[in-house]
Amino acid sequence: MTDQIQQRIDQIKEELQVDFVALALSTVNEMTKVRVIRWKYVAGNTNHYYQRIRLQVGKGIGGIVWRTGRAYQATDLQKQPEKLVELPITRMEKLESIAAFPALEQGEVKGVLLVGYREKTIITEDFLTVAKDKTDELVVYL
Amino acid sequence: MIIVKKVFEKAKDALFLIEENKCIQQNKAAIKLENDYLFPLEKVLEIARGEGCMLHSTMEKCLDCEVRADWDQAAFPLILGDSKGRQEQFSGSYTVIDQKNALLSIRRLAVQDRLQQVIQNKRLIEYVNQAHENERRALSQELHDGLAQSIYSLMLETRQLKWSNQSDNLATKLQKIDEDFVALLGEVKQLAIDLRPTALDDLGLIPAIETLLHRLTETTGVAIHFIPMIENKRFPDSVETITYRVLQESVMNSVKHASVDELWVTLSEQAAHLILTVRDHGKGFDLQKVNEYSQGLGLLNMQERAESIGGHLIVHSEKSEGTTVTLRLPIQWEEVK
Repeated sequence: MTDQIQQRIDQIKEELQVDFVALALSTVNEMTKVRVIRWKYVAGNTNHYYQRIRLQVGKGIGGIVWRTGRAYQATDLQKQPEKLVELPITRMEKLESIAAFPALEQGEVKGVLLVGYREKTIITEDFLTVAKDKTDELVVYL
Repeated sequence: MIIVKKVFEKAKDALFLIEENKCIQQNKAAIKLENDYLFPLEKVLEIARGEGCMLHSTMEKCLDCEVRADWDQAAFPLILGDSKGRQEQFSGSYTVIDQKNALLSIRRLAVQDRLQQVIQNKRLIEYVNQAHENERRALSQELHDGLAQSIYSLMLETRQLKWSNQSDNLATKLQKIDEDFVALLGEVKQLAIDLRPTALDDLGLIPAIETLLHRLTETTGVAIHFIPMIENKRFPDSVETITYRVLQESVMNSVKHASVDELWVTLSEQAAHLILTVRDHGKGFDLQKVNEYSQGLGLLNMQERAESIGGHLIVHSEKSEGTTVTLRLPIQWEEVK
């Protein structure tokens, strides 16, 4: 399963021609029932710092998408230090433009897919539709 | 010539016309200055001519120290004491007119300084108010969009139980509700910790810092190495709070502006002082430039906090070398809880 998801993430990076792809998934501790969300699968990463980040529901890209169940988009990020702090993955991977989508199953968020460019890029409606479809396809693995 | 004489007489600065080492003429302001303050003319002339400096009385001792290297006869600082021992700041200038004569002029600085202080205080108050307001906005948003939202969806989930077929995967649904309650409780607790960490009141500075840095690493992705060089013990309330808040602010500054992936924090004790350092090997910045713009108020705020209990804050930054923030706070042991 794990390898399959990783393969799919690598493929998505090629198909969408983006610089970076990451999928956030949650795990629930059996004992404490505490839910932890982390960037689990990545492609095009320049370091492993993403592993340190724990996503907070309602905060940051992953957290906002997780709570709202809606797509999120931001651009011109490297010029906005305040924003970079809120979106740590973009700071770590030096992303300039990003879009994130919820992987929904019966209205419930199962994961968040993030795609990003390191160069300034205009994200078109067509791109968003294609990327959203790819996210939906991922649900079968989750 | 009469007008020139009048100008000399009426000038607000104290003017002394010097011939060799004697004053041959002085204006009203100069007479008043001599009356109000202890004014050793010879010593002032020595300073003015750069024979020795503020720190050293003779050239032999001075040996072109830092103060002298930056010397400017057009404006040198001077501190004079009055008969009651109070000290005031003055600025002097020394103009050589010809081989024999020179003009020494002394101006009081305090008024200008005080004005600047007032302006700076006002800006600082504005900054602190703004910071409070931002904090409240964030809290309000968190309560409304976060907690209220979570409670609302939990409410819907429990209501659904009533309508759905009881035997139909009831266990799974209850399990889900349980998880959501845990998450909600976690959010409430985190909110409380962000406001004021209980560890700071209950366990002391070191555990509180460890918790804070762990959380900052998780939220920012920056690895923060904490090296406490003292045992965990209690310090006066103000010392603990100021250390914690200064740490929080300077770590966030580094994360925001230094573009680094690693930070080092140390805590030590030296000569009855608690010393905190936050070091990064990032971009660094020009302290002078930052202080001129409003962004520098964060630094000023930290400085004011430190000085409010007799400590001080030193920021050392060099372009492409990184930044070190050092906080030194006196520990008054009689105040220990």
